[in-house]
Amino acid sequence: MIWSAILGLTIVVVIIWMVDRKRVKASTGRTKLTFWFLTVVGWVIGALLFLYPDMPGPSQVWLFIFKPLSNMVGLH
Amino acid sequence: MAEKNTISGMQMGLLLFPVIVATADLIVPTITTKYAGRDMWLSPVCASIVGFLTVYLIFKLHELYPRQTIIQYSTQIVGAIPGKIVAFIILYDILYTNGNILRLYGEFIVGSFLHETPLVVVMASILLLCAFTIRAGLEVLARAAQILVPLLFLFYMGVVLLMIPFMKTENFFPVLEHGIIPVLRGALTPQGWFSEVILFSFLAPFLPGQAKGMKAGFVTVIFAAMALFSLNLSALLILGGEVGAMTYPFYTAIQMISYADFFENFDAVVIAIWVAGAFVKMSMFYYSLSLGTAQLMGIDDYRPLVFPLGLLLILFSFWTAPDMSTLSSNIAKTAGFQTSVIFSFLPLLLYIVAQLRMKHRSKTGNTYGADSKK
Repeated sequence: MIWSAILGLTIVVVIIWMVDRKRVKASTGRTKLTFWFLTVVGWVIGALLFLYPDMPGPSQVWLFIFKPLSNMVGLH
Repeated sequence: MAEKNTISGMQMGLLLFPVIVATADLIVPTITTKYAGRDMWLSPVCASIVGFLTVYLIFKLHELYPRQTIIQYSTQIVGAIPGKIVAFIILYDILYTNGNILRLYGEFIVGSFLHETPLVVVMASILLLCAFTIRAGLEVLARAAQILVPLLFLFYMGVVLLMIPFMKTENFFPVLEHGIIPVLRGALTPQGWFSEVILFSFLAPFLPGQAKGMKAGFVTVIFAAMALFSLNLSALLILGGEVGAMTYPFYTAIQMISYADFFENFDAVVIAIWVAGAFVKMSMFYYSLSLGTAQLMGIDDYRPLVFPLGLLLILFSFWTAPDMSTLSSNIAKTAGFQTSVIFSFLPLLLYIVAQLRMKHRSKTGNTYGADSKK
C-alpha cells in the first residue's frame, strides 16, 4: 500500500517533468537546478509522509516558537 | 524581467480582497468568540490596524525601491546573505500558509458537500486550476478576479440582507461586558489574515502608476474589515452564544434563512460562490510563491516552477495537521503571531533599515541615494 502510494507520487513527478521538459531543457542551469531541487524535495517529503504519517512538521516548529507568546497574552 | 503585464489599482484591490476575507469567514468567528465572547464583532475592526500598517509599509518600500518585489529589495536593504534569508522566511511562510488555506478549503468542501470524495482529489483539482491560471500570467488572474470578486461581494451582501429578519437583538447586549481586553485578545488571530496584504508587494511592480497603489490598498483593507465585521455580527445576531461551539458559524447562520418554506438552502449557492473567492485567494498566494521563488533564485521565468511548487503545496497541506480540529486549534494558537511577525514585522524592520540607509547616504554626501528617494 505504502509502496504503491510512493509509486503514484513518482508518476506525479514524472508527469510534472513531462509537462515542463521542453521549457526546462531549453533553460539555463539555474532554472534546471531550482526545478529539480523543488521536485526532488517534494518527492522526498511525500515519500517520508507516506512512511511516517505522524512526522513532526512545520506546524510543530511554529507551535514551539509562538506558543509561549500566545500563552503570555492568554490565548490557549 | 519576463513579466511585462500591467494591472490596474482596482484589479489589485479585487485580487487582495478575497485574500483577507475568503477563509477568514470560515473559522474566524469561532476563534474570536472563544476569546471575545459577545463582543467578537469588534475584533476584526481592531485587527485591521495591522492591515493598514502593512499596506503603508509595503507601498513606502515600493516607493524607495520601485519596480521590485519584497524578495528583490530585501537583498538591497540588508545585504546579500541576510536579505536572501529574509526572502526565504517570507516565501516559506507563504508556502506554509497556502498549505493551511488549501487544507481548510478541502476540509470545508468535503465536510459540507462532497462527503465521499477523498480530500486529495478536492485539493488537487482546485490547485491544478490555480496552476493553469497563474501559468497563463498575472493579467489572466486579475481579470478572473475582476469578474468573480464583485459577484462574491454582492452575494455576501445579499445574504446578510436576507438574514436581517432572523436576527435577534438580545444576542447583541450587553456590549463590552468585560471591557476592551477580551476584544483585543480576540483580534490577535484575525490580524494574521490582515497581515496577508504583504502580497501587495508582489503586485505593486505591475501597476502603471505609483501614487494610486497605496489608496487602493487602504480601500481594500477597509472593505475587508467591513466584510468581516458584518459576517461576524450577523453570525452573532442569529446564533448568539452558540457561535463558539460551531466549526463554520457563518454557514450555519445562512442555513437558518427560510422564507415561506420554499426560499431556503441558501448555503449551496453561497458555498459555490465562496469557492470562487477561495480560488482567487489560493491563486494569489500561489502566484506570489512562484514569482518570489523565481526571483530568489534569479530566474527570469517562474512558469517552470509552478508545478513543482504545487506538489510541495499539496504535501504541506497534509503535513500541517492530521485533522480539521487540530488545524483549527493550530491556527488559533499560532496564526496571529506567526503571520503578523513574518508578514508585518519583517517589512517594518526592512523599512526602518532602508530609512537609516537613506539618512546615512545623504549624510556622507552620496547624493545618489538621496536623489532616488525623491
